[in-house]
Amino acid sequence: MAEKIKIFIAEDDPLMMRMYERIFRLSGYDIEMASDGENALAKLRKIEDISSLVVLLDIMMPRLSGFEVLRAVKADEKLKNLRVIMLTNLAGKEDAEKALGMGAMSYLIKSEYSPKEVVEKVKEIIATPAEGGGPPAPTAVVG
Amino acid sequence: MKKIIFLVAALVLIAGASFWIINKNRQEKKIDNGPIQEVNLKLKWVHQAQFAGHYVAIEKGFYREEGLNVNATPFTFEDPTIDAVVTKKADFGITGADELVLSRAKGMPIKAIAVIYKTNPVVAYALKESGIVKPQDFIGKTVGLERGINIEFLYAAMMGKLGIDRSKVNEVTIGYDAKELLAGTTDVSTGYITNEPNQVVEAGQEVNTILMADYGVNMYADVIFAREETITSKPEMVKRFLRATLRGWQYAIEHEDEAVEATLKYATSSTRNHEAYMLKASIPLIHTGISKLGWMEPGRWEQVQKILLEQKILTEPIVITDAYTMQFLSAIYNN
Amino acid sequence: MKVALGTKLVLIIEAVIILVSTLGALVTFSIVDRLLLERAQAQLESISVLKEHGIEGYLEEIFSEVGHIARGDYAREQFRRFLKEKKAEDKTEIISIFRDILREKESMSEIIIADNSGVVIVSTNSESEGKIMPDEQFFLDAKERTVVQSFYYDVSAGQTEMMGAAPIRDGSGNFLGILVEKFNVGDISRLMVERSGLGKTGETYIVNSLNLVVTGLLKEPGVALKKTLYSPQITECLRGDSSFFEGKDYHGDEVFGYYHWLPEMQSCLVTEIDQAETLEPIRELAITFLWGTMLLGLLVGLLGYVAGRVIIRPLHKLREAALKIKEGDFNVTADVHSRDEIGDTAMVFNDMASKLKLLYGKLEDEVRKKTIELSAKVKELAGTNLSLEENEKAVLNLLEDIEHEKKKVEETVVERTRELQEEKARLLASINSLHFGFAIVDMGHEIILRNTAMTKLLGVGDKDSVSINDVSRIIGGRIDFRKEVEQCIWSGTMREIKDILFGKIFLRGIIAPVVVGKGSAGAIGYIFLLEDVTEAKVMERSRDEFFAVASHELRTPLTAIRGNTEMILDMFREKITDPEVREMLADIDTSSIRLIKIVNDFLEVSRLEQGKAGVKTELFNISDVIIKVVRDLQGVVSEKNVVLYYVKQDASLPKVSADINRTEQILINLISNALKFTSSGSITVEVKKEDSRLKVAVQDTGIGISEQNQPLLFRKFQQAGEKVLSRDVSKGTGLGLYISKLLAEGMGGTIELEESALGKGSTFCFSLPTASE
Repeated sequence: MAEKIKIFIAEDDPLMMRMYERIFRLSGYDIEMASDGENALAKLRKIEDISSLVVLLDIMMPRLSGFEVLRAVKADEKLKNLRVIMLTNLAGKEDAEKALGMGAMSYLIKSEYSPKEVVEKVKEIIATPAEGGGPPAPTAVVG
Repeated sequence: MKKIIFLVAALVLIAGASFWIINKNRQEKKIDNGPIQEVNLKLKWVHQAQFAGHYVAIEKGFYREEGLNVNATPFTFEDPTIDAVVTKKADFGITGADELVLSRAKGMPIKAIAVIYKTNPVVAYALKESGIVKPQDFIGKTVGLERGINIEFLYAAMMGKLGIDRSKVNEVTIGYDAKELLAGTTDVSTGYITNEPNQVVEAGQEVNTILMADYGVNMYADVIFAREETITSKPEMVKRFLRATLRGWQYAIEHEDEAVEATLKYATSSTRNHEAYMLKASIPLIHTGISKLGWMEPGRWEQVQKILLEQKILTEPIVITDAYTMQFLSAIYNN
Repeated sequence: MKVALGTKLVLIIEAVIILVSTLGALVTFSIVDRLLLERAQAQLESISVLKEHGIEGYLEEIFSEVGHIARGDYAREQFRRFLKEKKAEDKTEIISIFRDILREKESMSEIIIADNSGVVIVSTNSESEGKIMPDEQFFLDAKERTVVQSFYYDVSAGQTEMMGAAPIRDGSGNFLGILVEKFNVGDISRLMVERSGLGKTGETYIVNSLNLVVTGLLKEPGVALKKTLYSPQITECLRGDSSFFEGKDYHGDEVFGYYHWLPEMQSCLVTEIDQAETLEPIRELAITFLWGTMLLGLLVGLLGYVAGRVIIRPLHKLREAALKIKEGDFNVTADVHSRDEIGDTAMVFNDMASKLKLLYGKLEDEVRKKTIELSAKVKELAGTNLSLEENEKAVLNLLEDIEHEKKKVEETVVERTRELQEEKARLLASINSLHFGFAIVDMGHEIILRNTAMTKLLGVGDKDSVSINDVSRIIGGRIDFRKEVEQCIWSGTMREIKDILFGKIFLRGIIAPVVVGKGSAGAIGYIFLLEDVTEAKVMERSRDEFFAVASHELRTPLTAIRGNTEMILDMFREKITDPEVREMLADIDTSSIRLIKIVNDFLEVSRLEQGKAGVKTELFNISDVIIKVVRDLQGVVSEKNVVLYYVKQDASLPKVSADINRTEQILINLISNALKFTSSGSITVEVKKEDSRLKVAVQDTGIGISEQNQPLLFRKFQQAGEKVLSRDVSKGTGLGLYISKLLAEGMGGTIELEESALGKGSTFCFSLPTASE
């Protein structure tokens, strides 16, 4: 149950990236990073064991947007069961719905969450098993 | 009504036009002989009525009608006639038949195409009061001879023919005029009927003339000749030249006054009287009535050679028939 | 053209005369011509023969003379002896004999004896002695036989001579010498000059075988023995022929001639006469003919004329009579009594005339009768005509009046039309000034009036008629304007069509019905507007982009500030020992949180203002929302000495039709505001039903709001309470109430300050529509 969870963060803003990396690291997780969508997808494809992976995917990224990466992941046989959480600064339920409809586990608005809260949230989501039935019950948190 | 008038007018117009065209045609019927050819004629002596026929032919345009532009030049010692023709400086020349034969004997390629002076003009002349009327009268008299020319050997031939003993005659050399006779140096002088006797008349004396031709020595005098090469290569031109020349002489015979005027245009330093006399004296020698103008007889040519041989002027006989050609005269008169 | 009979007659006769005359002339001329020619021929020949005889005779004489002398016994003896022995006495005697002969024969000029070598031994002219005969053919021939030479130019003698020569032989026939006799040509010339029978231009002359003219020429004097003559006739003659000829003479004149060959002289005798002279008679004849014809013509003309009159006069009379009849005078008779065809014609004519007269008379009677009848009838009609006339007058008057009225009406119409046109022009001017497309459409969906903007927008020609269907077609896309129109008319309300994409531009359409009564039946047409909103849209889009970017760009760093700050405070607390530093960090954190809120508020406001808030319409229980919010905010409230609770009603409340989240937002905002301006006391939430709405009231016991500030509350950047100098840093952006207002109204509800009193507190409330039953 308490497997070694690896956090994969795809975020183009170095400020944010540094912040999240720090908090997760200080919280005791292994981190892997990618700074654009294409890079993220390529790295994800290379990963052997995805069951221990949780992906934090920023929507607004160069090369490929978060949505596009999500789409590609969910379309990929190997990656489709990947646990993905979308990150964004855009408010709006429509976007959240869109992401969840595409197979993301959850949706976080960065500006409303302190880094600690982000970690908590992720922990919550980890508790949900990777395999098994369809997507977990969608929860969109709007601050 | 109008139609009739119109018709008549049209007919008249057509008739008039056709008449005009026909008339025009007739007038313009000139003989086209092609471009004018330049011809050089070298005379036997200076410009004088002796060559009146040529002057007439030039002035009256007879040569031009034959497509020829004839340039007549007088004899000069620097440029003698036969040499001029042989060296192609002239196309035609006038010379004595005797000279022609002698030149041919020297190998000059010349040929006579017509004879102008059929009767030889050489005379002996004396004052009427001397009573010398025939060569037989020369015995015991002083005879003035003009040397170096044919007069000399003609005189000899005549004396020979008549059988007169020349040792009984006092023969002296004189100049080329009647001076001596008039001065009394000679009783009788020789000369040309066309020249010296008139001088005596002009000096106010009456004169007897003894035509040597009457005494069996009638040698062709002036003949027209050309290079053999000209005759063979330009026969048409030669014929035309001769035809116009004969026409000129015929005209001169019929119109003496005009001929004298034409002559005076060339003999610029002479007098009308002199030229008129010369022409008058020349015509009977040319227009003898025996044969057509310019016509040559073989017998007469043989006589020329005979006299030359007898007088030892010519040493070897030549083929006399080669010295002249009848082709042009025949062609002209048979037309 | 008309030619009088008389003229015709004369012309015919004249023509006949001319014809006959010409024919006659031609025949006569040809006959005469031939006759003249024959006469000329005969004449010339006879003259020629005559002259030839003369010459022959003359030559005979010479021949015989010479021969006689040459062959005479005496002469022979004498000559022979002299030739042999050359005795002087012989010579003297011979000469005296010769001289006698010369005296006798005038034409003889000299007699010569030459020996066999050609030397002249005897001559009547002493000067000739000693001369040698030339070797001419003549002399050679003379050695054989008697010869005559036509002419020989003796240079010494200075004259032309004829010569005859004959050989002298001895008894045995041996050649001893020649006897030569010279003649002058004068005799022959004299013979030739004889002109009898030769008229004016006729002449005879001799041409020898050398083509030399021996005797004188009439037309060229002085050329004898000089001129040579070549002509076809002479050439023929010299061949030995004698014949008549026609041709040109030496002078170029056309002549008739006869050439005669003279064998003894080897010459040609030519006799000729000008053709003109010969044919002279014909010319005279021609002139005679001409005169004759003219005279005759004149005479006949006269006669013809007279004769014509005789015939023509009766014809004229006939013609006159006919003319008279033509003019209507039938009492005429032709006064012609001649006993010929004309007379007969006249009789017939007269007959005809009288018959015509009768007929005409009858006709006149008939006509008269009928005329009387006709006039009676006419009178009748005239009567009726009168009353008709009066009626006509009345009708005319009426018509005039009508005309007048019509004119008036027309004028009025013109006036009104002009006014209308002015109105229309004014209307047109004003609608043309509008910047958006404006059109008035009739119920047949045809645009009856449109402004220039509409025309330009649709891109049609000024004169084109456009219908609503055309508009749909032009604009394309999925918009069926017709349907929109129908909806509009049916509903009786204005319809807006948004987001019309027309090529590269965005349009907004509005359709509004024009009704004169209730319902769709009352609609007489509709107004159709088209506005180019491309710019607005573009601006909108760029604004959207702006906000998207802004929101992201603003929030990211803010999040980073806050996040990092909190992380420091949280995870690195042990490292921050200095309380001042801690405080500073805490301030930074607070600031960043506030800033984030401000940014959020700004973005929210702009989104709401644009209507892009994405407000949903849901049916829910307002109580549930209130409970949740109240519960959530307990934590915050508990920090202050304030109590927050919901006064729940017992009665069931209807559901509301609104956006749950937004409702929450409003509630939170109001409660937060209440909390901000209440230091102690309570905040209560109540729900009341009002008409078709539910009103939610948030009451607090705070400081309240002054009356001055009350109207300013829901404006942008306005605080919900009095400015309180406090260290409460949660001042807010001043957008909270504004946002709440936008949200409430966006959900179809209201928001207001119900009441407020300074020091007492305020009550804010908002209402939402209930779900329609």
